[in-house]
Parts: sequence; C-alpha cells; structure tokens
Amino acid sequence: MLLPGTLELLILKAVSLGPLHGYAVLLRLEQLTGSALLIEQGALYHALFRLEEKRLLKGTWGISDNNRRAKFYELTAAGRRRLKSDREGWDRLAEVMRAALAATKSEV
Amino acid sequence: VWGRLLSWISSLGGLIGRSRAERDLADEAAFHLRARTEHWIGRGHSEREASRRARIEFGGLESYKEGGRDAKGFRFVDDMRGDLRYGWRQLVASPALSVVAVGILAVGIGATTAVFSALDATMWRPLPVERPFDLREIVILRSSGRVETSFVYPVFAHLRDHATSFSDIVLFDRHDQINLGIRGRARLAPGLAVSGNFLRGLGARMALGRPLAPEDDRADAAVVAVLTHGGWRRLFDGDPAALGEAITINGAPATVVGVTAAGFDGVEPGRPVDVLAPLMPLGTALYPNGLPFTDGRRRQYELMGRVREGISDDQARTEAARLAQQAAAGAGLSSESVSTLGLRDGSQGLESLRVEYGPQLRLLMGISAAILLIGCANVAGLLVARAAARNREMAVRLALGASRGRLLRQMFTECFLLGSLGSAAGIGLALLLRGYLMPLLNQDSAPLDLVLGLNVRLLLLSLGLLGGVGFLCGLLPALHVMRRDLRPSSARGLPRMATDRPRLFAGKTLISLQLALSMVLLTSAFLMARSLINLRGEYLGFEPDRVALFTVNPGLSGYEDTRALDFYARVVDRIAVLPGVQSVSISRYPLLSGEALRVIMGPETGGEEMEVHRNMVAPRYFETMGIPLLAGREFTQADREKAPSVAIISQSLARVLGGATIGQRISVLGREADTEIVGIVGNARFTSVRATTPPTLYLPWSAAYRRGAGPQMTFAVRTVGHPASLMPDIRRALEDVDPLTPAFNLTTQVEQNARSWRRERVFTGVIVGAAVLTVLLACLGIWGTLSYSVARRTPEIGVRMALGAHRGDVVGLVARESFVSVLAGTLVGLTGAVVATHLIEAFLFGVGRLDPVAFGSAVATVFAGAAAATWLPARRAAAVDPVVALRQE
Repeated sequence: MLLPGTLELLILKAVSLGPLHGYAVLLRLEQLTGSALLIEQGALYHALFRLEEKRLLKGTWGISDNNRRAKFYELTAAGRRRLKSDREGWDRLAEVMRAALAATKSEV
Repeated sequence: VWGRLLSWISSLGGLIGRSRAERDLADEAAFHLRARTEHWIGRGHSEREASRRARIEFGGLESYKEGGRDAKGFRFVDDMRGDLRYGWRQLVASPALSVVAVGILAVGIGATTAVFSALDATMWRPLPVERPFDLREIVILRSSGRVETSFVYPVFAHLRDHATSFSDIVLFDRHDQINLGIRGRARLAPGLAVSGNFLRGLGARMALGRPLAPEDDRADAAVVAVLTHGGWRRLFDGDPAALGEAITINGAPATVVGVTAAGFDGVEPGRPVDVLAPLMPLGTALYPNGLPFTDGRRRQYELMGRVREGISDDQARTEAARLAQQAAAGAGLSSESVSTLGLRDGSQGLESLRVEYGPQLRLLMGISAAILLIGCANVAGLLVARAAARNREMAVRLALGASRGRLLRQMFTECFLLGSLGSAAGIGLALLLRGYLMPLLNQDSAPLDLVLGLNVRLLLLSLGLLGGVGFLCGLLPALHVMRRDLRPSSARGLPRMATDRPRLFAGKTLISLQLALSMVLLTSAFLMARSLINLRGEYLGFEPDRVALFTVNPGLSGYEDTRALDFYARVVDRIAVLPGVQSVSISRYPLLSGEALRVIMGPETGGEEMEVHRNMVAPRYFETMGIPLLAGREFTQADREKAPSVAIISQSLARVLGGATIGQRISVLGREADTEIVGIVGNARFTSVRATTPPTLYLPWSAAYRRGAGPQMTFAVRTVGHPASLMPDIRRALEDVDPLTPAFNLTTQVEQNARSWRRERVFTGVIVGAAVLTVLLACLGIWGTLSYSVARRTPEIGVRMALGAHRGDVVGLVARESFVSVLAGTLVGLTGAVVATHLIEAFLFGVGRLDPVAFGSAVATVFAGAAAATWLPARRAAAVDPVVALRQE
C-alpha cells in the first residue's frame, strides 16, 4: 500500500536516473521497491500526467529500445528541486515516525 | 466566470490540439499494453493470455483517459460544453420564458448600443486623418465668456506665414449651397472654401488624385476642386472618370483633381460637405456681394492648426495670440477683434456638434441604460422563479455529488447563453434603430449624416454588456443556489409559511422602483401624446393642404437685380400654366420653416417698440397659401416697381398699429411714413406652430432685391390634386427656363409642417416606447415574483383551503402581496413625474405640465397592468387543490 503522495515522489526518483517511458517507470519502481509495493498501473499514468502538467516532468515522444514510438519522461529543473525537498521532508518524517514508534514507556 | 467563458471560446479553437492530446493518451496506453503483453509472453504465457493479463493489470481504459483529461485540464472544457448543452436544453424547455428574457435583453442592449454608437460618432471618434490628436481648433475667447470661431482673412494669412509652433494653420468656410455644374446639370451641394494647405495640413488621405496645394490657392491660379468621398459618391456615383473632369462652381469653370479617402467628409462630424475648393481663385464666385472676401471686416473664416511635436498648447496659444494682434494692427483693425485666442481639441473636428447633441445623447444613454438594467433585474427575477421551480432538480444533482460551484457555473452558463442571444438580437436591433436616432436629435433641417459604423469601442461595449448582463442576470439565481436549504421542501417537517420575507422584499422593492420609473415615463408619454395631438390640430391661419414648395437661388447662377426678378416672373408664368396648378406665388420665407426676418418697428412712427415679422411676397400669395384677405387687395405685378411703397399687414399688426386701415401710410425700412397699406390679411403662423402668431408685415417680393444678387426665394404652388405628383413637371418647367438654376428643398407645405414638429413626434415615439416597455417589464416582474411566491406557498395555501379558506380569500392573499409594492411604486412615481416633467416642459403644447388627464391616465394604466399581472398567479393559487398540495408535503 502506498501513502498519498509517495507515488509521485517515487516516480520523480525513478526518472531522476535518466529519461524513461511510462512502462519503464513501472519496471523501475518495481525494481526500486523490490516489488514490495503494489502499484496500480492506471494510477501510475495519472500521476505521470499530473507531474507533467505541474511541469515537474517533461514528456517527449521518442523511439523505445524495440523501435516503437513511446513517450519519455525526464525531470525538469523544478522536478529536480521538488525531488530534493520532498526527499528531505520524507527523511524527516520517517525519522520522526521511527523515533516516535520506537519510544518505550520510560521515555514518555 | 467571464475569463472562463473566454477560455472556453479559445478552447473551441484549440480542439485540434485537444484531439492530438487524446491520440497521445491512446498511443501511450497502447505502447504500455504491448510492452506488458511481451513481458507476460516472455514469462511463457500464450499471446492471448498475456494480452488479457496486461489489460487487467492496466485497468479500465476509459478511466485512464478520464484521469488523463482531468490532469491535463480538459475536464473544465468538457464540463463547459456539458453546461452549454444543458443550458440550451433548459432554454428550449421553457420557450416562452426564454423568448421573453432574450427579448427584454435585446431591447435593452439594442437601445444602449444604438445610442452608444451615436454618442461615439458625435463625441469620441477622431477625424480620419494622420495624427488627429495634434489638431487644434483656433477660437477667440470673448471677455463675456462667449467663444467665437470666425476670423478675418488677414489674421489667417499672418498666422499661416509666421507661426512656428504650428506646422500648418488651415482656413475653411462652409457654404451650405454651392451651385455645381456637373455634366451639363446644375447640382446644389454643400462645400468648403479652403486655404491651399487645408488637406495636407489636416493630414487627410486621398482616394484618387492629389490634394489641394498652396499653388492652387493663388488669385491667378486655375480653379481646381477636390471632392470628398461622400460627394464623389453622391455627385458622380463614384465614377473614377470624375478625376480631371471640368465642372463649374457657382459659374466659375474648375477641374476636379482629387477625391478624399472614405470617411473624410469635412471637419464637422454629422455635417458632411461634397466639395472642397480653394478660396483665392474662387473668391468672387463664392462671395458675390458685399465686402471683398479678403477684407479685414469680413469676419467669416474658421481656423484649425496642427501643433508641432513638443510644443505645449500654452506656447502655441501665446504665439498665435501675439501674431493675431500684429495682424489686426497691420490690417487696421482694433486688437479687440482678436482679443484672446484659445485652442480647442480639434481631433474630432469642430466642437459644435458635441456641444449641441452631447447632453441629449447622454440623456438617451441614461434612459437606455436604465431600460437595460431594469431588463436585467427582470430576467434575474424570471430566472429566480424558474430556479425555485427547479429546486428539486438542483437538490437531486447535489445529492448525486455535484458541487455547489458546479451548479453555480451551470447557472451562469445559462445566463451567458441568454445574454449572448440577447446581444445578438440587440445588435441587430441597434442596426435598425440607428437610422431613426439621429433625426430625433436633429434640431434644424440641416442634414445630420453620421456614419454609425462598428468599431473597436462598440465591440468592447458589446462584450462589456454581455459580461455585465450575464453577471447581473445570474447573480440572484446564483444566490438562490447558494442558499443552504436547497433541499426539496418535502424533506422538511412543516409546510413553509411566509419565511421568505427578506428575499421577497428585495424583489418587491425592485418592482416598486420599476413601477415608479414606468409612472414617470408614462406620465411624460401621455403629456407628449396630448401635445402632439394639439400641435396637429392647431389652426395655423393658412391652408397647408395641396401646396407644393420649392426654393431657387438664381443669385448663385449670376442673376442680379431685375434679371433675377425677370427670372422669377418667367418661372411663375411657366408653372401657372401647368395642368393641375391652381395658383402660384413666391415668398422670401416659406411658412413654418423656422426662418423669418424679425425687425423692430415703431420708434420711427413714434409708436411703441415692437417685434414684427417681415416677409416679401409676390402677387396671389395669400390666395395660394389660403390666408384670408380681410380687406383691400393682394400685391399686383405693378407693385414690383413700387416696392416698398406699398404693404400688406396682418390683422394683429393692424391692431397693434391702433386699428390701421387701408390707405393709411406707415414707415418701413427706416424710410419716411410713405408706405401705403393696401391690404389686411388674417393672422398666420410664421416660423413655427408653437410661436404665437406675430404681427406680420408683407412687402412686395421685389423689396428683397434692392441691390446685387438677391437671396433665394421659395415658390408656393397650390394644386388641384396631390402636390407631390406635380413635382416632376415643376422641375422640368424650371429646367426649361434655365437648366443651370436648380430647385432645391422640393417639398409640400404639409411635410414642411410635419417637419416643424418632427422632434416632438420622434421624442413622443421614444418616450411612449420606453414607457410601454417599462410598464410591460414591471408587470412581468410582478407576475414573476408572485408566481414564485405562489409556487413556494402552495403547501400553505393548501392548508388554508383545507381549513376552509375560499378561493376569494386565496386571491386576496396573493393580491395583497403585490398591492403594497404597486401602491408604493405609484406614489413614488407620481412624485418623480411631478419633478421629471420639468425636463419635457419645453416640448409640451397646449397642455400643462401637471395635466390631470395625463397623470390620471398614467395611474390607471399602471393599475390596470399591475392588476393583470397579479390576476394570473392569483388564479393559479386559487386553483390549488388542497389534497394534492398537502400530499406534496
């Protein structure tokens, strides 16, 4: 299960390693998360469209490895900044959550 | 909302872009599915199974596309189109309401647009020349505060030659009638005598040929002329062969060298000229008698200048004033003659038109804007009433998950749809209306011919009106939607009693205001109508039926003195023998044309000073005009030589002179008391129907020709049949005598009379129309509000009837709702009318400003309309079936 907002962050991360078409994003995400997260494919594309509309991703039509017309997504400058800030935010949240959940009775 | 509408419009144009986006969406999904299918094939599945798995994983294709559109912002467009379709269905579903609403808006928008276009043409449109905003009209400011626009020639010449703050100073003088000989025929046309630099100085553009040049404006130059575009169309039917053609200007041969570009018809918007001719070589042809045209005493010419870039108005004015003083001194004139110069904005030409019509146009603009506002209020009322009827639908849509914002948008979309239809119809109406608008404002009989075309300002107005109308109409229904209790009333426990007081109160105040305005307009309308009836029925002292009129000015063809009188005699003889002519005569001034010669009589005879109208008339004039001869005789041919030693006087003059009798001698034209009274005639209106009949002195027609070229004279021809049918014969008879002296102002006395109250007639039409409209609107408003109220109170009415109320009680219940607002509106309206009728007092004739008949009729009309508008909803309320009404609860 995905927390809201995490899918977009994951996509930004996936694409940050180089331009990918939609299907490759899916594969990359499965690879990055070790298939631990179930990603709905329709939702993935909707997220891609949203990110493109927000100008965090830039989509261009190109040719895939097996010579088919595919749309490739890459990070824009804004996307890169967003990835950085969201990642820091996520790290902080994870840290806080972990600390909070790890608290023992004596610490309260 | 407005911006959204625009974006919707633009997205209509962007449908191509949109279809590409749709294709991209599909392509991307296809690519994914193929890649995924191959993935599963690679895992050992059959192609069929692989494809099935891929599709299942991917999910619904439609929801994928929906999400794509959503993300890409197409959702709004789709919704908008849905709203429009839905709105259109709503309009079609209640056609009566839609037609009424569109009609109301169309009238308001049409009237506003028409008046605005007139206002635009008179007040705001710059002259179609280069850099019009550098142009200034040069005027003389008198210490009395009066502004004069006429200069003497020496001042112009000095300014033109020495002014450095102006790049050009041009001179012009309007001639209402120039006798043009074109292709062997004489045509009278308005023209300007101008300085040679006129066209270039103003920066006018040419359609054909060349503009006038300074070299054309020398006394020894060959006479050339430039036609204005309008003149070229009128005089030459737009024939390009006109260029280079030889014409005559008041008899002087001239050559056409150019035609101005379309739109440039002189410097006075609304008073176009046909021909522009240089002053110097034409001088004596244009100014045949009196002072030489360059004389320092002929204060005649108007000046405009183009201020150089970077020169302030103050600098320019100071320099011009200094030069004018020098010129006046040089020409031996008192410096008082140019005392203080002033500059006025000349970008739109002369200011006179703006000054003359501005206030009237603004008043009209106010009336039409008020009509439009009332119309919007009404449409809003109608829409609220309908929205109330749609409560259930709205509630269902809310329950199904529509947001309030969505419903609001729906409401406004419908209003803009109505507004757009209203605008389209209104602009059509404006095109029809504008032809009638300018005659309404035209005070004299001079042609006021404005080009009322579409332009950017008009377009902006239309868009602004559309936005404003859509917003105003949508506001009330939108508030209705925003109310919280938008659930079907069945969801509430108790039938709704009169819980809507505040909102209904707003509606009722609106109705009172509308009724008040209707009252004001209705009262004015009745007053105007009564005046018009009085004007038409007024006994004028002469018989206007079956009299044809036309005017000739032989002076423009070079006739002078006795030659002119002989010319008249020949024309009279010629026409007298035409079949169908009863009698013919001539006079200096036609009756009811507004023209007259007013002189002060009395002191020379030692009597009281008094104002007397004077006319010069030929034999049989009184017979022709049907003015009764009370004593003595008419003038005879023999009197031609005796003028001014014989006179005929009106009955009222006889009375003022202390009972003058035939044979008595009086003093006229400042001479000894040697003029013999040979006749006494009945009193006849002279300048207008309104003016009380003045004492009138008639002298023989030859008295008008004491020296030089005489003035124009008007022929009166009494016919046996309809006078208009004789016009061609008359024209031919005149051409037989001299083809180069044309008749103008061909008309009949009946038409002449009608023209003298034309303004009253048109104003009456406008006010009656506005009154009828506002009364109808107000009634519609009453009807709408009451219908709404009845719809809401149906359960309550049901309860009341179930408890034993009679139909009469129910009718009373509804009627009471409107009674107070009607009464309040009427009272406020009466007060308003008492004040407002001051404004039209000048138009009234034979009826008092506070005429009880007019006021009574207005009250009766308002009550009748209000009663009718109340009756329909009341009847519906009375028809409520208590069983059905309660079951609804």
